[in-house]
Amino acid sequence: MKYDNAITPILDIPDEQKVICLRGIKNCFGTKCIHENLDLDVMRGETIGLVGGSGAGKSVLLRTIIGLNKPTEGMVRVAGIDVWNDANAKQRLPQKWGIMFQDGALFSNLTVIENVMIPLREHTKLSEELILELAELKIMMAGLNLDSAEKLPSELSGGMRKRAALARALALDPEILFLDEPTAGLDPITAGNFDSLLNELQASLNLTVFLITHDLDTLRDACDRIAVLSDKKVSAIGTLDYVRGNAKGWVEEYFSGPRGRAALA
Amino acid sequence: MNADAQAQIEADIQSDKARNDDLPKILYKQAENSIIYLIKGDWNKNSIANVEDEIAQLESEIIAASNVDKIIIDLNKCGNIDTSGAFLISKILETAKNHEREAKIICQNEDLLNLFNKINSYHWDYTFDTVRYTGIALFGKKVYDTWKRFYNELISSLNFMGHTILCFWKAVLNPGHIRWTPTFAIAESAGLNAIPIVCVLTFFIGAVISFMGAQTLNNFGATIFTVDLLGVSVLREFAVLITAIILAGRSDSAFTAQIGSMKMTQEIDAMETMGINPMEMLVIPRVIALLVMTPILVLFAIFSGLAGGALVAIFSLGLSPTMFMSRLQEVGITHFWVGMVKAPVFAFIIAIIGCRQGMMVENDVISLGKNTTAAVVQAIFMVIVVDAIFAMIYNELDV
Repeated sequence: MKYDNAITPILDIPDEQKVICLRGIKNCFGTKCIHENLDLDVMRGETIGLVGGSGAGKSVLLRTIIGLNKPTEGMVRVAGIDVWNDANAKQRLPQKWGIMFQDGALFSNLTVIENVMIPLREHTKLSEELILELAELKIMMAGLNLDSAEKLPSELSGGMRKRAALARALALDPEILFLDEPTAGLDPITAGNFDSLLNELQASLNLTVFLITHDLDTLRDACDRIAVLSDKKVSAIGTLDYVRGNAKGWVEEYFSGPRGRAALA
Repeated sequence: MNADAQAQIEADIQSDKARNDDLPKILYKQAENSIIYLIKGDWNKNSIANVEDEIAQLESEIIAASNVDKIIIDLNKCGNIDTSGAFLISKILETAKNHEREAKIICQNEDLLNLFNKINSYHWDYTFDTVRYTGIALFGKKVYDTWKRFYNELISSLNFMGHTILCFWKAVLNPGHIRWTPTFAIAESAGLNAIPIVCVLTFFIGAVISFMGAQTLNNFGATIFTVDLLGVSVLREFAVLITAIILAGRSDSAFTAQIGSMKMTQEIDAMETMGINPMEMLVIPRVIALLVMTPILVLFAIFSGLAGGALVAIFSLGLSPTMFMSRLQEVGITHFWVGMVKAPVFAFIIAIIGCRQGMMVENDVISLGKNTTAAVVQAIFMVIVVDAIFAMIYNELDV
């Protein structure tokens, strides 16, 4: 396994293989700091799952990476572009990443298909017809029926909204896919389908996936590596087995609680 | 940002796109009864715009070439292909298959082959069955839809009004059930806080009436009747109408937005499951607050309207304050009551329209905006219509 030895936050690999590279991240709100000296490298083509207790700063870290929350200190590089210092980052990055927010963040005044067409219209010069067809393709890739394409987000169920959001995130064939709690609020069967959909897409589209989750099944079934966020930094990283085997403190509690044992049995 | 920097960014983005991209190319070779397409270059979302037309042309060529029965797509020389590129190439396969030609892909890259298989595994079997109307039919449909919407709105408004009156009656019979805290809060925000704007606007209206009236009446040598004109128009119409329109714009939008956002976040559902009647909790306090506050606002409006008129009359037309006051007393208290009676009626209309539109907000942001607009428009419309009805009634009653 190529991920077996990748058990440190900083990896000794060439820069072009690091899709996400965080160095010395510090995030403070007032006097309270939630990240300090945080380093993390994400390899091209892997699925990395970020776990951590409520309030550990997972969402803030995601927002820091995707350019929504400026870190107090530190450097964020995504696909070789410095997110916070490159003057053109805001124009170049949207073509390279797809982001699925926790509640989908679909534009509520547009139908599903229009939501998916937006990034294509914005960033490509393709004909309207082809954009429509591509959007339909992405919707089907995300596991939705085309019957839902003409519906408004408010007419969809929670699981369907997540799929529609995934279709929009995939619209531009991103290199990197960020998912914030992709399976939260879904029933176990739908969540399981989502995991296998993710694996399937990752294999055929050669994606790098960065996901935040609390779902132990997702960690087991979809993630190559797991990064644990506690004590203001990435305190443990590696394959699921490695992290479990070397669990200390919060991580141990996380995996050895009744829910952890049940999911990983 | 200056133009140079903008141009620099544009160039950077272009070079970013073009850096690794070889332009997509498609070459073809026709053997006896087969065509081989050789795919070269990178096919991705940015580059394929250049070959879109070419692909469409190839498709029609395939359909036209009747002697060809085999299509081969050779991907071994291609660069990077993403889903959109693969989709475009797949269109050739699709066309070939639809016209009973044998079609296949030659590719040694297994990942790429998987991508093609994945794309071809989906079926576009869904068609949108929308009926399109044109010309006179479209016009007819619009008229019908508008009528139907108006009719439904009317029925549902009356329904809501009935419901509110019933709840209001229950509340009056059982005053312990009235929620006084929200009632006072709303009386403050919708009523008390509106006093300055109501006063300022009616002050100016009063001043304008005085000016206009004096100019016209002066021609008949009847300048003194300006005071009658001012008194009658402010007391009967302007004070109450201006107040109602301000309330409709100021408070109705707030009512709809408040109740509507509670509806969106399921707060109203939560209330209902706790056994709290949302009508009692949200609608009745607003109705009571406006019923009490509107007459008070109208009183303020009358005073400041008369004050505006008096100011103009005294300082600009040269009437003495004593003369103004004695003339004003001639106007008669009836006109005051004629105006004041309308206040609670307008208050009731405004309150229930705002609350109803709030209750009708659905689960999306659009309906919140739409219903807020509808609330203000309907309230102003209804206020003016009801005012006209009052005028007709008063006309019959000779007051």
